[in-house]
Amino acid sequence: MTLELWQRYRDLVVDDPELGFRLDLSRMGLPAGFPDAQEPAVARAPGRHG
Amino acid sequence: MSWSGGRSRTRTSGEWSGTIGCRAPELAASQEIGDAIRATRARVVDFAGRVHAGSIRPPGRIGLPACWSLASAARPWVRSCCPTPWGGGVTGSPPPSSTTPTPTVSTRSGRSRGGPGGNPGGGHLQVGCTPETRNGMLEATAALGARGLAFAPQAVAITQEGSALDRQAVEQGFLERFPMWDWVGGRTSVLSAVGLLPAALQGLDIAGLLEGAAAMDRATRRVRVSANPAALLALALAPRRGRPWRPDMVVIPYKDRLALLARYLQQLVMESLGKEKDLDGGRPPGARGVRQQGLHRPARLRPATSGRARQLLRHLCPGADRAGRSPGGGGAGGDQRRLPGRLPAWHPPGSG
Repeated sequence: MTLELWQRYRDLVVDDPELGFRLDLSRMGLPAGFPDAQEPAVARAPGRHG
Repeated sequence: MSWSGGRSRTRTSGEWSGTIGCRAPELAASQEIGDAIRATRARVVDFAGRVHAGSIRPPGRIGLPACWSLASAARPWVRSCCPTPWGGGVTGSPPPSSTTPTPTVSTRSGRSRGGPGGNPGGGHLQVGCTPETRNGMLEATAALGARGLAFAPQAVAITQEGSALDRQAVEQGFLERFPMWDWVGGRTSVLSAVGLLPAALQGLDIAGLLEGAAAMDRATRRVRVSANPAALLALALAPRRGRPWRPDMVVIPYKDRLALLARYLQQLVMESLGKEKDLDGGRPPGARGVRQQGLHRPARLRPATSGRARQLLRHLCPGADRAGRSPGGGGAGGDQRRLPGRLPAWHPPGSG
């Protein structure tokens, strides 16, 4: 279980050293691969330019 | 809003969105706007420098700046908790900032913690047509007048050119005027003169602040969702098929110094959700500051620092902080004209 959580944390954490910012979504109940699966929908979002 | 370029003209709901331009003038919608942003920044830095150097000084004994802002004091509160070159932060009390008609002029003598060279000892006003802001100005004028001091020569106005406050500042000879543009959203005005001037007076590194905000702009325009923190957070909070939607978000600051960030985020999120209508589709009363919005949209975001709704109501109870009438003409406790009525007094649990 611990290894599973660790792997999930690695998959769902956004770490940006330049910003000093880290966002951890690993405990938010998102299905695996959820962010990447949303890219087509995000690409179609209104107002998105070139 | 452009996600990828930023140079394209940004429009939100048919209005110019100046939020990106404020922190990156090169991305402003026009050369004219970019130049205005740069000029204002330079004037802010120059003014703060003259205050810190002591060339702008308070007349007499008053030595603590005050800030009367728009409908919420969340932004000045958060800013007041930032560490400065001469201390401050969580260990110090915040500078007087008020959205309610409470006198906030200090009579401390000598050098205050506001800076090594003194400070203007007056206040800065934003907009001026909002009742709370106007009442704050009247309170300050009365408080200074009681000490034989004039308000205008030590006041700074941050407002739209040609507004009532702007005209008043010209007519009465305010110490300085800075522009506030209608294309800057209130929730992001902290990166315009509205927030930058008090930050600079406080001694904060406003260039670094703007640089950090611009870096976050770039991060939140990344096309790859898994590397875009704003998109990830939005997706995490969005309803998903087959799961109950639970949009509550609890903010748990990891440093005491960030405790007030929760209140700021509360206002930011609630304003971003819209404040034209309440959860029942009705039109809420005016003066929709963070507390009022908290009442109208109570379940969207709850800072870890807030309590239950009845505790929230306590802040709205009139008559708790002052005796007598406000100079602004409101009853005890200030201008309640835009609230739906007197709210019931709050009594702590167990008080009977």
